[in-house]
Amino acid sequence: MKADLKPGRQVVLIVDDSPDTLALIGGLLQPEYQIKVATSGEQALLLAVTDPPDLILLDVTMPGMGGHQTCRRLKANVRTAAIPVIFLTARCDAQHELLGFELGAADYIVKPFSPVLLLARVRAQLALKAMSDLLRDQNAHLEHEVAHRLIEIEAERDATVLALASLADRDVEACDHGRRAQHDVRALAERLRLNPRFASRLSDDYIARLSKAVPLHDLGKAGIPDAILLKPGRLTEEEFASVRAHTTRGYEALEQAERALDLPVELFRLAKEVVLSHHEKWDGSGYPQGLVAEAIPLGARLMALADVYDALTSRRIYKERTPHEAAVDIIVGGRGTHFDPDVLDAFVDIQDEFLDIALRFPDGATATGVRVR
Amino acid sequence: PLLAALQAALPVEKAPEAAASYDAVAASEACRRLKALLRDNDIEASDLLDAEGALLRSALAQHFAPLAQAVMRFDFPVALAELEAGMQARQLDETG
Repeated sequence: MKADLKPGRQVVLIVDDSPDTLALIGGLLQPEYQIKVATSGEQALLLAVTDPPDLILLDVTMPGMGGHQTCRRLKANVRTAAIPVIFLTARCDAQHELLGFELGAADYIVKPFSPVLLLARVRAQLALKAMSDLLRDQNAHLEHEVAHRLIEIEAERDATVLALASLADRDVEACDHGRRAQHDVRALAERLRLNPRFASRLSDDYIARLSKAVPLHDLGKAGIPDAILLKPGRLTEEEFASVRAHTTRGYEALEQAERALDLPVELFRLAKEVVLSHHEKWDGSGYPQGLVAEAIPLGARLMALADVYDALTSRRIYKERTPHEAAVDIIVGGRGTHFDPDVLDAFVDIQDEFLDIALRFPDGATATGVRVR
Repeated sequence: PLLAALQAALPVEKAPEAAASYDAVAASEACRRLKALLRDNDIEASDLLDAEGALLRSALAQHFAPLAQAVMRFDFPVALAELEAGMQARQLDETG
């Protein structure tokens, strides 16, 4: 049906109950625009909603729904609200005109009007309309583009983090360990925030960033020689010291990267806490700083528990897998000594979720890598 | 020009069956285009009625005058109903 219309022309809807006025204004504008006509406010609303025009010339005084009421309805509908409206009226008083502008009119033309002036005002409004349409289209395009780039960047970052973690953490299948730990920490944090003391600190945003930082926790293991990290037997004191240093090495690597960029990286702020302090213990007997209780950053306290659970229930080069129930018993035994009592209570409440995560992401599930031996 | 078309149209009402010979294909095409414009409330419907007045008058017979009057009043919904009634009565196939 649209085949008869000249494509690309802007559309002006003229609303007037007088056929003479419609014919006059229509004839004036027709050479430049596609003209639609309506003889009542009701008809105008229907037309505008069905196929929104670029501009509406609206008579104020009409039988039935008058121009003011029609304008009010147009501005209240999201489909028609952005269409500029020029009022046409025979009444020339300031109060009346003001009301029109308050209703959202773009302009006001008093009848009888000068044809040249009418055309000029219509042109001005349509030029504005074309510009605002263009801006809106560009904004929509940009938003789409940004959202798309954001997804890409996040995927790149996640992949980089996992790759880095798997290089460092050679004693486990780090991809799987990293993913399990991410889910464990998230589950733990979401349970812990039901505790009013933690609710405000564990925002959605915090939990999302913490779970992104989790796979980096053993970053510093990249600096430990295979002979030590993969040693099946007992470590000497010296070797153990080298293993413990992975916390500070990882921290320094992140610090250095941040310094090189000369820009604080939000992901790194949490990652540094987790990397440095996930081997601290609640009673102060952990490393590297021997921090006690609340002095240990919250993210590191969550990470500590998830890390121990995963270490216990995974097979390592130097040990077999501990069953879930036994691992829970061992962890519960560390309440208030190894682990934050609140974090531990949250763990006890959701221990089934930990088991479920372990079953969903078994070692070798992402096995493109080689099992270390 | 519209008024002229109307004045020309009115007498035909008295002899609706007189319009026997017209180009049915061209009439169908004109009706189809007019219908699209009326549906769209496009003011070009008046121009089309001016340009194709004679053909449409022959084709639509007694339906032409009320159609033309409604178009003159810019009462396009009424004009559309009249056109459709005329097209159906005279079997002016829309797709033809």
